[in-house]
Amino acid sequence: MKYFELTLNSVIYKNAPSLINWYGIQDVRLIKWDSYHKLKNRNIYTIESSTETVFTDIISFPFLLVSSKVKDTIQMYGDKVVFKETILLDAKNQTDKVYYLPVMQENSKIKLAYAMKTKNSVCNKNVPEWVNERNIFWISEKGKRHTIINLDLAESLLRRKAIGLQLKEVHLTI
Amino acid sequence: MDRIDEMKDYLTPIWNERFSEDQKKIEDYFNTHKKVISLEFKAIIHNIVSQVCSLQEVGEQCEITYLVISYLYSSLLNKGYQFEITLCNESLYIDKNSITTYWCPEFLYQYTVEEELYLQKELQKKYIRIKPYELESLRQDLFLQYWDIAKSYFQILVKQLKESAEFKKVKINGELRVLYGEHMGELKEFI
Repeated sequence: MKYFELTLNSVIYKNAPSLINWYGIQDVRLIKWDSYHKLKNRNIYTIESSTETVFTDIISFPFLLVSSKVKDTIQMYGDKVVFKETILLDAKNQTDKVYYLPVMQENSKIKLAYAMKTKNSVCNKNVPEWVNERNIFWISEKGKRHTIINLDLAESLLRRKAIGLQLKEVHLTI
Repeated sequence: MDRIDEMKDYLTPIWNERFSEDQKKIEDYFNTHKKVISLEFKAIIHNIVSQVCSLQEVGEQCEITYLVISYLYSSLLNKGYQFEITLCNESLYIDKNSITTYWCPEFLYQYTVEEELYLQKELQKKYIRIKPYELESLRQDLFLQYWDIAKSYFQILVKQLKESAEFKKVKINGELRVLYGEHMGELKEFI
């Protein structure tokens, strides 16, 4: 099974929503599996005002946010992911969009390496068991959190025409 | 996204013409290099064939029923243009001992860079300030056509593969069924 790091493709989607004044609305340190119950069920954030904003299906800064399309797809897979409603508001242009803040399980013992782009590759079956049981999860490495999804979920999202996704293939080992 | 739909309507006939011209060149290339391409494909499959044979020898895999070739949206997104090729038993998706490899038929995708530039150039004749995401969306939409074309080449390659001595070492459940389609989605038998 292939695995990918999921981020927003900010090179192509330069007009994706950009959160402003987000610091202090919510303690971002609480965005983890052990403390998701301390997060508010709903938050409202202001985004940079623009008539050209493209509401991508994923936002990766300052924390991961996903559209309802992505949320519904993740939920179909039955992974342990909790979603907190997040409303993004552009008051000047009177537009808003509901996103979801996903909180999922995280592993700091698994190592991540970016795969080289090759013409052909063999499917690696020797992935850690913890990974094998999940379709979406976080890997933390050197203080950075990476959102990882497997090929099944990636294909499901893209088949549903989710936009804004950047997928970097990764190898996961213990 | 209305502008993208409008762009697509404008671009589709232009693209179809270009794509069919390129397809003729690809067909010629394929016919000239059929032997080399076939050998490359066989090498890719033989790699998983040897793994399947090893599993069958130790009794960890029963007879193979399906050869599944799937196109990948993720590979279209990443411009890797790889296909997923899997040998599995009658359990299909739930076969835990299936063996998978990924392969990009480079001969098929040899004009994609030029095609992308061409699309951009053609769009610029009518539209100003084309955004990168608009172009990317159109590329992903229009390049879906490659998957239909790929199917016919895979038909030829698989036919030759089945005759290979290496492939005949695999224990097959009756006649091997070859399926083509989406990863974990709709598959159609093509041979």
